[in-house]
Amino acid sequence: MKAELVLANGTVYDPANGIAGERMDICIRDGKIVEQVSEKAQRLDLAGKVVMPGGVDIHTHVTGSKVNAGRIMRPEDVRSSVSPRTSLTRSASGYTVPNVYQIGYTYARMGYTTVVEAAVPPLKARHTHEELSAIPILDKASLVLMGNNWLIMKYLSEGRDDLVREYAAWLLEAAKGYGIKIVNPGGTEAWGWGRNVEGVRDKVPHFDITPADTIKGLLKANEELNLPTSVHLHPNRLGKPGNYSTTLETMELVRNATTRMPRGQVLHVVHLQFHSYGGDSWRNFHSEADKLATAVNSSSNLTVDVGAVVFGWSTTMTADGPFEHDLQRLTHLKWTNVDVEAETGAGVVPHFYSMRNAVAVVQWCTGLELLLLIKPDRIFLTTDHPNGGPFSKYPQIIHLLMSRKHRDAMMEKLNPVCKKSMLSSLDKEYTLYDIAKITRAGTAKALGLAQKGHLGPGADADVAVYDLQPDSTEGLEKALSSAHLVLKDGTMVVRDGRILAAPAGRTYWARCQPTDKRGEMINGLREHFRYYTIQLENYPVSEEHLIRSSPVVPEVSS
Amino acid sequence: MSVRLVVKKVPAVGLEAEVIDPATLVKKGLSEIGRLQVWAGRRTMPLGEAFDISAEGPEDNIEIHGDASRVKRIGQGMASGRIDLLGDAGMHLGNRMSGGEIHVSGSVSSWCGCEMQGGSISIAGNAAHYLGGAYRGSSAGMQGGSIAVSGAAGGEVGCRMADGIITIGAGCGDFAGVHQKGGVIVVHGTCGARPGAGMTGGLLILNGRVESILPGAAYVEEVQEAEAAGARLKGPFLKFKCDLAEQAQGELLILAEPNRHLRE
Amino acid sequence: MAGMIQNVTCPFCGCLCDDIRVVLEEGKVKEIYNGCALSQSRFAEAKRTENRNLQPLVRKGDAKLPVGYDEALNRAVEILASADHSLLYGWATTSCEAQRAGVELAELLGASIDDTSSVCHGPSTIGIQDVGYVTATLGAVKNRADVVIYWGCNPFHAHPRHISRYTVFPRGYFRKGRKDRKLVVVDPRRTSSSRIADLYVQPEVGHDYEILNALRAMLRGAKIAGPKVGGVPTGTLQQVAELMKRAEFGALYFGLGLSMSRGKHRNVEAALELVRDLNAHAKWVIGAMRGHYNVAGFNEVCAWETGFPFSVDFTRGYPRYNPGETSAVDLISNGEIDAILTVASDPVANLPAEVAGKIRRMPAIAVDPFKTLTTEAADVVIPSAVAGIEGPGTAYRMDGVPIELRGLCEPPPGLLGDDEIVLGMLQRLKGMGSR
Repeated sequence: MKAELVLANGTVYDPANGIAGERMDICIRDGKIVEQVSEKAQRLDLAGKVVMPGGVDIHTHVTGSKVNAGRIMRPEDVRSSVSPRTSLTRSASGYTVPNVYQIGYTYARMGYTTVVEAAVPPLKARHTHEELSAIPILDKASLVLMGNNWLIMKYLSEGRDDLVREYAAWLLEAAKGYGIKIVNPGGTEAWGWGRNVEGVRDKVPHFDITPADTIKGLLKANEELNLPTSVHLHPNRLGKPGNYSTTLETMELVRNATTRMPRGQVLHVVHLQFHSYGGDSWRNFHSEADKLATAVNSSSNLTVDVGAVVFGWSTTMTADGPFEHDLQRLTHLKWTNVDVEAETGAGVVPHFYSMRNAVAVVQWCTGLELLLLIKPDRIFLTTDHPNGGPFSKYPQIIHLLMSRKHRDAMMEKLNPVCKKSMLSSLDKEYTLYDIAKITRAGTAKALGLAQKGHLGPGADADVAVYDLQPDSTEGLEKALSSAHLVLKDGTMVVRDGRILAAPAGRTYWARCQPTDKRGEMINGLREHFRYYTIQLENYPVSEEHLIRSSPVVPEVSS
Repeated sequence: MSVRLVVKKVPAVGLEAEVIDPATLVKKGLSEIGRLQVWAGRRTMPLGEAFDISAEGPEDNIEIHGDASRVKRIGQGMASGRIDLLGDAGMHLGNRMSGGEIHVSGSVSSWCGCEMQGGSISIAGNAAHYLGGAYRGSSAGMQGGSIAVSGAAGGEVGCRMADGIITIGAGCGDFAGVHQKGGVIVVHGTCGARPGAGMTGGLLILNGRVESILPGAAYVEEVQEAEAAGARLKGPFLKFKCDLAEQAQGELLILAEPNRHLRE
Repeated sequence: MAGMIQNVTCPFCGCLCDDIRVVLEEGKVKEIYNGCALSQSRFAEAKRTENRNLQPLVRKGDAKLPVGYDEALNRAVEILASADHSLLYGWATTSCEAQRAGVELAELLGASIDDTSSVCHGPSTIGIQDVGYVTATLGAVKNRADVVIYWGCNPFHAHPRHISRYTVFPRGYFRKGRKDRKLVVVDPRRTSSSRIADLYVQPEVGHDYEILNALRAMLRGAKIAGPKVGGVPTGTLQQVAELMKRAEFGALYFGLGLSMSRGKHRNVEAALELVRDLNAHAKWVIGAMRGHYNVAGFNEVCAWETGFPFSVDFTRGYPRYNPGETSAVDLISNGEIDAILTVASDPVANLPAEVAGKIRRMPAIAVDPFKTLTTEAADVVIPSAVAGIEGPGTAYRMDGVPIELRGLCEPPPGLLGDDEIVLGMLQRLKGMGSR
C-alpha cells in the first residue's frame, strides 16, 4: 500500500539503533520505515504508549509432521481453548498445540510478526510449508534438520567437506529452508536402533563419525555458504542430570570458529535451559546456569535462546527421539514417535510442570538464571514452544524478569528447593530495552534478517505498540498479551488485542548458488536415494507451495 | 423456584441444551428462562420454543416431562440443585457435574456422567455407552460422585475412573472398568467381554455372569463376600488382580457360581 | 501430450507409490509400468467415459436435468445454506487442496465435516489419542527391519506393493532383502499374505484384544493361565513375544481386522500399547494400513486447520470433536443431519443400509468423477476431474510423507477439479453475506 503513516509521540525501544525509551515519531511509507513522510500522512498519536519493532521468535515448534502429530494425539488440549470464527477470523483452537489460526492470531496479538519454525525433516518439508502457508499474518522461516542425515554423515566420514556444503545447499533449497538445524547429532540416528549417544565424542552407530564431527562439519559448510543465520544446535544429552558438561564441551568445539556475516555468532544453541543441569540423578538434580552463563558471556561467537519453563501443561516435541522415549518411561504419559528414513526422527509427549515438583522448579529457576546472568545481547526469550510451555506465556516470563519482587512472590508458592537456588539471590531486573533485545533486536540479528527487529529506515514496518507503563510492571502481562496496536508491513493487523486484518506473511528461505561440485553431489545423491522410498525427482518442495516465497540469495565466497 | 419443562418440539436435528442447569434457571423469571438460547444444529432458538415452561414450587429444581431423548447436555457441569427427568435424556447428561442430583425415570444416551466430579445421577431405565467415562484423549474419567442405573449399560462403563461409585442393575457391555484407576464399579446381571481391561486400580465387582475375562486378569483366590460403598454382597466371589498388561493393582471380583467357566 | 512420464504418483491406496511410469497416447493414459493391479485399474477406470459424470445435473421435479456448473453450484449452496445441520463427507480420495477448502466451507456453513475414518481407521486415531503412536516412515522399515508383522490385514490384496516395495522384499541399507527378515502374519483368515509368512498365527475371529493383552502381560514377565488365548496356544504366543523382544528393528502393520472387529479402538489401543511397551526391550514401530490414498491427508489437513483429525462439528462456529457422536455414521443415523455434500466418496454404497436410506431421503449434493449409487441418489450431481490423473494436488502417504499428485491428461471437456468446485461453493457462500 502506498499509504503514509506516522506513529507519533510513542516511547520507542529500538536497541539495534540504540534507542532506549525516547519519545519520537516513526514514519512509514509503502510498508517500510522511512526517515520522513509528507504532511498528508495519517498521524496516530501514541503518547504514553511503548513502541517496539514487531517481535521475532527465533525458535518455536509450530508446524509440520510432529506438531500435527501432537495435535492429533491431544484432542483434550485442543478443546481446552477454542474461539469461534468471526467475519474476519477463522476459528481457533488449542493451548499447547494450537491450530494454524490460533498460532497466527496469538502471536500477532502479542506483537510478534516473524517466527522461525525450529525443525523440519526434509522428507516432510512439504507438510511444514502447507502449514506455514496457512498461518495468517506472520512472516516465517524454517530450519532444516541435518544432524542425523545419512548423506551428510557419509560425506563427513569421507572427509568430503565440499560435498557436505553442496548437499546442505541443495537440501535447503529442496526443503525451502532458511538455515541448518542440528538436533542431538548422532543420537536420533542411534535411536533408529533404540539407542542414543552419550556425548560429543561418541561414535554414531554404523557411521564412522562423532557428533563433534557433525557439528564442526556443518558449521564449516554454513559459513562457506554465507548463510544468513548460523547453525542452530540442540546439543546431546538434553534433559539429563549432569548434562551441563556436555553443553560446555559442545560450545568448546567452536571456540575458534569465525564468521564474516553481520550476525557475529557461528553457533546458536537452542533452549539452553534444558542443557544446563548438574547432579547425576533426579535427587541431586540442580542448575549449573552460572557455568553456562560464564561460557556464553566470555565467548565472542555464541548466541543462545533460553527455552524457559512455565508451570502448567506443555507438550514436549523434539527431533530428539530417544529423549522422548526416556521421558515417557518416566511419566507414563502418551507418546508419539516418528522416525524419518535416512534423515532424522521426532517424539511427542505431554508434560506437566508442577509448582510442587522439585525437578520442575529447578528447571524454572535455571531458565530465569540464564536470562538474568547472560548478557541480553546473547540470550533470547523462548520457551522452546511448546516444550517448556506455550509461547502465549512469554509475558509471564517477562514479568518475572522485570520484577525481583514478583519473582520472590512466585517462589513463595513453589517447592522450597527454589530457596536454595542462585535465582533467589539475583537482583537484576530487566528494562524494556533489554526485553526488546531478547525478543526482537537480538533475534533478528542472529537470524540475519536485516529488515526485521528494528525501526530504522529500510526496516519492514512491523511495529508493536503496547499499553505499558515504562516504570512499572502493573498490567504488564495483559499489555504484552494484547497489544494496543500491531502493524505488519505498515498494515494495522491488531488493535486493542483484536485482529483487524489477516494478510498472508512471507516465507523466507535460502537459495544458494551451486558450485562446480554440484554434479558430483547429485550423482552421489541419486545413488543414495535407493535408501528412500520416494523418487528423487519428487522430493524437493516446489516454490508454488510457499506463500509469498521470499528467497534470500547468499553471496558466494571464492 | 422449581421449574417445569415439558417437551413441546424438538427440532429434527436434535437439541443441545446446557442451559438446563438448576443454577442457570432457578433464579430467573419464567419469560427470561423462555428466552435462554438452545442449539439446534447451527441455529439457536429460545428454550421456550422447545419446551413449555411453568413454575412449580419453591425448591431449586427442574422437572422435565416428555421425550428428551434427543436433547443433549442437560445438567452439564451442574454444581447444585436437582433435575428430575420423567422420560428419556440425550447424550452427555450431567457430564462434568460437581454437585447436585439428577434423577431419570427413563433411559439415557451415551456419555452420561462423563468426567463427573461429584453429585449423583440415578437412572431407572438403561444407559448407553461410556457411562461415567472420559472424553477422547483425557487421562481422567469420573473423579467423584455416584451413578446408579437400574437397567443395563452399554460398553466401557467407568472408563478411566479415578474415584466415585457406579452401580448397574441389569448388566453391561464389553470393557467394563476399562483403564479404571480408582473408585468402585458394581454390575449386577450379565457382563460383556473384557472387564477390567487396562485396569491399574480401584474395585470392579461383577455380580452376575461374565462373558469372558482377559488373560491379564490373574486369579488370586475365592472370597466369601464383597463390600462396596457400605453394602455387603453375598458371594462367593472369584478374586482377580487386573490388568497384568499394566501394573495390575486393580481388584476384580466376579460372582463365583455362574462363572466357573472362566476358570477352565 | 504423448510419451513416457516418469515418477508419477498413483492415486489409489495408502502406499501412494510415486514411481509409476505412464505412457500417454493422444492425451490419454495408454499403459502404466511399476503399478500394481489396483493401480492399473485406477488408471484404466479414469479413461472410460461411460461411467463418468460428464455434466452437472440438478433435480427439477422428478427428473435430473443437465445444467452448467454455475447453476449446479448455486443450487448446491442454496441447499447447504438452508440446512440446520449439513454434513460434508468423503474427502479421502481427493487432494489436500480440496480438503482444505472443504474445512473452510464447513466452518463457514456451521456444518460438520468427516471423512471415511468412522468405517475404517477412525478407531485407530482414537486409540492414538489414548496411547500415542510409535511409528516410522516406510523407508526406515525398509532399511532396518528384521521382523515385520502384519496383523489383521492382507497387504497382498489391499496394498499390493507394501511388502515388495517397502517392507520385506526390498534391499535396504542394513538388510539384504527377504532372507534377512522374518515375516509374521496374524489373521483369522488364511490369505495370500499368510501363505508367504515365516510364522502364521491364526487367532479366532474377534479375539485380537485377548492376544494382545496376553503378549503385553508376557512382556512384563507375567505367566498366562490356560493353554490357549483366542484360539492360539500360549506357547506360540510366548514364541512371538520372544521373537519381538529379540528383534533389532520390528515393525507391526495393522488393518481393519483390528480396527473394525469387536473392540475396535481398544484393539488398536492394545496394539499401540504393545509396541510402546516393546520399546523397553527392542526397537519397534507400528503403522496403520490406511486404505485410501489421501485419507491420511485429510487427517493432517483437518488437524492443522481445526486441531482435530476428523469428525469435526462446526455448528457453534468453532470445532468440536466426539467420534461416536460427531462422526458421519452416527450423525446420520441419529437423524441429526438434514443435508449432505459428498466429495469423492460413495456413502450410499459403503455405509450401513440404514444410513444409506437416510441419505437417499435428504437433500444431497454429490461431487464425483464417477457415477455411483450416491450420485444416483443425489439431487445435485457435480462432475469432477480425477485428482492425481486429471489434475494436480498434494496427498499424504499412510506414513505421513507428503507427495505431489500430477495432472497427466485433460479431464472430459469442461470438468473442474474438486478443489475448484469446493472453492466455487465457498465463494458463492461468502457472496451471500452474513446469515
